[in-house]
Amino acid sequence: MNAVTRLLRSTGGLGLVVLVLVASLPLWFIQTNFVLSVATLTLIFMAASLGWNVISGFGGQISFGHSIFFGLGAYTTAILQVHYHLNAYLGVLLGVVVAVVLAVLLGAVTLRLRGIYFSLATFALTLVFAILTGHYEGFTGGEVGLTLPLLGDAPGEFSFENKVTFYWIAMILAALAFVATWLVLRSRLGLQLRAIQADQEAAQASGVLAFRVKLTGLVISAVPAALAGSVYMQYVGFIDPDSAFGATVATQIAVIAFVGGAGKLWGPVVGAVILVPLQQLLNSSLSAYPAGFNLVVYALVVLVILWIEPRGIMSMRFRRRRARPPTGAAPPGEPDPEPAAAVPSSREAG
Amino acid sequence: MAGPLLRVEGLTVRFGGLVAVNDVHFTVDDGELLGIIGPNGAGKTTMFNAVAGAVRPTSGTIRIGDELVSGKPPERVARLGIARTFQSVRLFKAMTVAENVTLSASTVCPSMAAARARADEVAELLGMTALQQIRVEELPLADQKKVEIARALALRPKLLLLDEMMSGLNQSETRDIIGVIKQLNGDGLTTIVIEHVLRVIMELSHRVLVLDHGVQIAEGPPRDVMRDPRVVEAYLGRSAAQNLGEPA
Repeated sequence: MNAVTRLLRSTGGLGLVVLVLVASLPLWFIQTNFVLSVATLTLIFMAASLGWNVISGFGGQISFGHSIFFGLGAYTTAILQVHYHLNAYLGVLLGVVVAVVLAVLLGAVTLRLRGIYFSLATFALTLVFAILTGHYEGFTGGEVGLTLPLLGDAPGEFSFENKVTFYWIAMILAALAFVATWLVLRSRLGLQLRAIQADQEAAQASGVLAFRVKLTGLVISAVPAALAGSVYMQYVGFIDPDSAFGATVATQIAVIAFVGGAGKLWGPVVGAVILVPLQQLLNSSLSAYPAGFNLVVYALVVLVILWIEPRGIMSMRFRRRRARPPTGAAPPGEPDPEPAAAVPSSREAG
Repeated sequence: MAGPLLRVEGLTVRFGGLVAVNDVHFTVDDGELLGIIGPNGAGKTTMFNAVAGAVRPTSGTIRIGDELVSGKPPERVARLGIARTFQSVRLFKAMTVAENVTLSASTVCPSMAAARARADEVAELLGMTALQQIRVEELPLADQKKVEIARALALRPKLLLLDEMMSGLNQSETRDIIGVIKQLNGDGLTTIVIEHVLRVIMELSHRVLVLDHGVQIAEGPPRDVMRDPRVVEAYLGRSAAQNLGEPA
């Protein structure tokens, strides 16, 4: 497993620590349903945000509409199960297919826009999806939402009595999303996406087929988001327009990555580990206060982190580390350039 | 392939009411080094952008070999073998030298391994192997300009467009870049150079094209062009041109 050792090395051992911590979490907290639920949701949103990182973090096309793919994943599996009694796993798969098709269609239009206009278009589109799902009641359950039938313990139908199972599934999903983004970052696609982010005209002058590269990036980035939506649906058992396509989900997927470090391999991981538990904790502990107070505190935490380091936690400099390698000192025996963003992140991981 | 490598015919670029380039005709032969000069606002960079596909010509045609270039987007033009540098350096600043060059190589090489090999090859050609792992933003301007050249060369271009490489460089850095351009052209790379510094153009070019207000006012060997009264007038004003004409 050369790739695994490379990955661990390129991320300065941080990977191993996180892996062990996350993997052993249920062993410590297995009795506490709250912690288990928070951990599962953390991993689900981590996966969605990792997907976001491909087009927005690497490619610089900031999407505030990744909830579209999250919601499509959730609704596709739910509708197919509730209305057509389709096997849940097949539903998950079809959720990905639907999300990919829509990524192509929506990307073909929105990716011609630059900068903030792309962001606004994606945000508007997710709100359109929220309205549409609210409107077509017969199909989507309208504003009331859709509830999955209670099947009890039916592993063949993606239904488990033991909620730890969902934790493991969510972890596998997040791990797959992480490895996928790592592979993208190392690939030609990743390099070309980063070049487009840095300077699209210069990238095109270097022969980069910018539109095609961005569209490919968007499609890839939709897949983890859609899977996250499907797993969320199976886990929570309920979806409505707002929790699928609403502004909160739309921004959360992006904010997780921004706080952790957009464009950094570990950004969404760190961001999700901090923000999702924080959000869940605030929701439950501050519910006695006037409505919205939890959101104010949440926003303050996000603002403070981004005030300290606008590029996110993975870009924060911690004192012990040396700032830069001396000029021209390539690591011995490593002529092969390390994956791009992983280099600064390993240096700055602290 | 018979005939010139690049053939520009009737090239006109209009921005609203402004005619930036007006009915320009020229050719560049295989292996030639063509210099383009002209006062500020003469339309040099606009013409460059048109050849590179960054600006769509209002009318006229641009061909490289038998291939029509005009009307194609810049990424297609780059893949057809016309590579360019930017007047104000436009590198991917946060990336290393190797990554910058590998990027453009990756658009023409079959694999990333081949692209990395191509980047190493170009770095060696330009004597930049030691700089490969340094982030571009940490390099001095002269080295950044070389990286621009390297990024263009990685495309294995048939034609290299260099836009004001010497601006912002001191004497010795200018000499260094001139050396690089001469070396590349000596190895057979057809090149068009836009330059403000006349001395540089005189030294480098086989042939010079002079633009003024978007119009082509002279063309020929550097020495002849410099004596052309219209050129002197464009650069120094009418009275200088008259003085130059009389003592002969």
